Amino acid sequence: MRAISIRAALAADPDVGAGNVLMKLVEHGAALDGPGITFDTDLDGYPAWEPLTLGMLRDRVAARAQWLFQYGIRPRDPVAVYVASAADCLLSFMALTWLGAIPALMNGNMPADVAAGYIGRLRGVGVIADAAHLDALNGLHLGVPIIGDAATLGSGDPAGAPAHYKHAAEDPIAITHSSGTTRVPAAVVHSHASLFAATRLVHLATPRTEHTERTLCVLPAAHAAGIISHQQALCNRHELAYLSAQGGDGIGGPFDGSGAIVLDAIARWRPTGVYGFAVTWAELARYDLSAWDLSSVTLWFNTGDCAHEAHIRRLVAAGSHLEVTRSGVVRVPGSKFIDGIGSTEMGHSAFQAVHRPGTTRYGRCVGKPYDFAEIALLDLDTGAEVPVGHVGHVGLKSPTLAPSYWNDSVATYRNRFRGYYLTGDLMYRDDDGYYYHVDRAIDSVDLGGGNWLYTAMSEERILKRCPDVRDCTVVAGRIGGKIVTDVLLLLGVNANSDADRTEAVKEALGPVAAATLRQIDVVSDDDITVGPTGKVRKFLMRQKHMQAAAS
Amino acid sequence: MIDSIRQFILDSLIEMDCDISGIDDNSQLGPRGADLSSLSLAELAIRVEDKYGLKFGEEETEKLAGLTVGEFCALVAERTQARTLVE
Repeated sequence: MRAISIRAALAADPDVGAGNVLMKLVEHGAALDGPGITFDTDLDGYPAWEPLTLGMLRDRVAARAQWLFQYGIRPRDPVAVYVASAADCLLSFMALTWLGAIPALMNGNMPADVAAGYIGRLRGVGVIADAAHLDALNGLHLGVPIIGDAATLGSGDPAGAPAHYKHAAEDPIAITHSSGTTRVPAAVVHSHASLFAATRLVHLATPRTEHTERTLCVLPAAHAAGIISHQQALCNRHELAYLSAQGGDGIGGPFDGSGAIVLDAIARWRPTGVYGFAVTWAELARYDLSAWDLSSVTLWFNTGDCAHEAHIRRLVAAGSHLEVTRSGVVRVPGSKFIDGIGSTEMGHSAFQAVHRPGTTRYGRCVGKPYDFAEIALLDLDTGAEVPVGHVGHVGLKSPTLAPSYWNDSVATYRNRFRGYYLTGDLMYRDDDGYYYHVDRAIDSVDLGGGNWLYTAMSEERILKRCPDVRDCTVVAGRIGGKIVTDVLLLLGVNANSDADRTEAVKEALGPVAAATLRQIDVVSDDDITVGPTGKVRKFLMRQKHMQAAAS
Repeated sequence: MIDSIRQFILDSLIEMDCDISGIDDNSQLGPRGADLSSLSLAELAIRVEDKYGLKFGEEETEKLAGLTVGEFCALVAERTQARTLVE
């Protein structure tokens, strides 16, 4: 028999985890001149977009590990990382885990006052930040020292780095944060084993794919998805270019212009796979995709929130893919979109839905669970699973689950139910075993008589019925004992802002919810409150609209 | 029959430009052995279907990666014999 591939060797090595991928790749013989990561910013003298080999990447990480070790960082030290670029974020992550420390990665879009409070609650040993974020933190009480500017960490001596820390499976290797329903982000801890579980069980165990050999990652680097995605690419020995800040350039709103930056990056990098959150697909909906060369794209991968059909259909119509026919392998037009609903706490998507040109299973179908994920749709009053076709709370058992919230036992245990982690989502299942996401539990509204308003499902239906609407948000709440619903529309480029969409919106809401409709507003991006990853903060939107209505 | 099926599979892999060095009956078709890509597995399945008059379902094709070369040969032989008996 011949030697097994490096993918199989990594999958079979029980000591590999999210804390030591770089070290284990080298240990298992990955070529140092093979792919590392390509960044969109300069790094230690390497210009932006110059591909770093695995050897260069290890060298740059070792330099940071030596610098941090000399500073005094040791195993179990929680260190906040508050930076904008993917390079600063991911290299700091790798250097801190090299030392056995616990990087607490923070989204660079987090407002400085919120960041300062978050850093304080971590009870860590210090903060690494880039120049812009150091400025933003200046004068705010952090409770811990600034360790250094992320850019200076690269001045360490790679040859002087200490031996890589040896992680146990349950060792914490990162703290990431959810968007938070309000402005307050929740700190979630991931273990060496939990954050690598899906990579081991799925991405290294299944056949090699041609879809992701060359990936452009637009996921936020500071989140669980950022860690998982770069490690999957490294372990699969794929080429990976990582865009900072989800393509946002920080001018205007955090995502202003990000669609064009992503499209330019696709044309430049020629990826086979593009990974992003739902906000990226909504931003791409601003543009006529035919104006860019997207022919290299075979696969779009979405995680975080479920993506909308209206956005997916535009994407799968672009790109191309290889198809096996009886006369051989041929390249045909159209691409594939994999929708993987997930969250920080879930530690990976638990479901997978595959869309292609011509497929029709939409309506917020999230597909079927991965083999590693045990799902129960629960009635929280009775504790029983709901029947097929009925909406229940999603309970998840999975090796990917984050062990706990950081410094918050209350939140950790409040979300557990009969051995399941409650994801906070509402879904139903059909006779064929496909699951459908209707809403976040906190956003749904009881209309009485067994009727509910599911805001996310309503948005899906509105977008389907109003093709000139680029994105929409449904906000519902109670004013003086009466439920009112506002529908906020963001229009596409050529849409008529005076068009009357009342009938289409009412039809999308259904008769009971339509009776609560107060207004349909055409709004601008500034009117929509989003979190650092682009997720709409419905809790704050609800507060804002209900207060405005009450006054 | 197993011998001829094995030879057909190996010949197909060579025609498909797959590396078969060190591959034997105990080699898994997927990552822990021959490390065939998903496209190559699909192409191999089609070649075997055409040669032996069989049909693999989409989900079945995806699971071929977990079989060894020997197990795949046995599966093809079993299906072929079952088809012959029916006919």
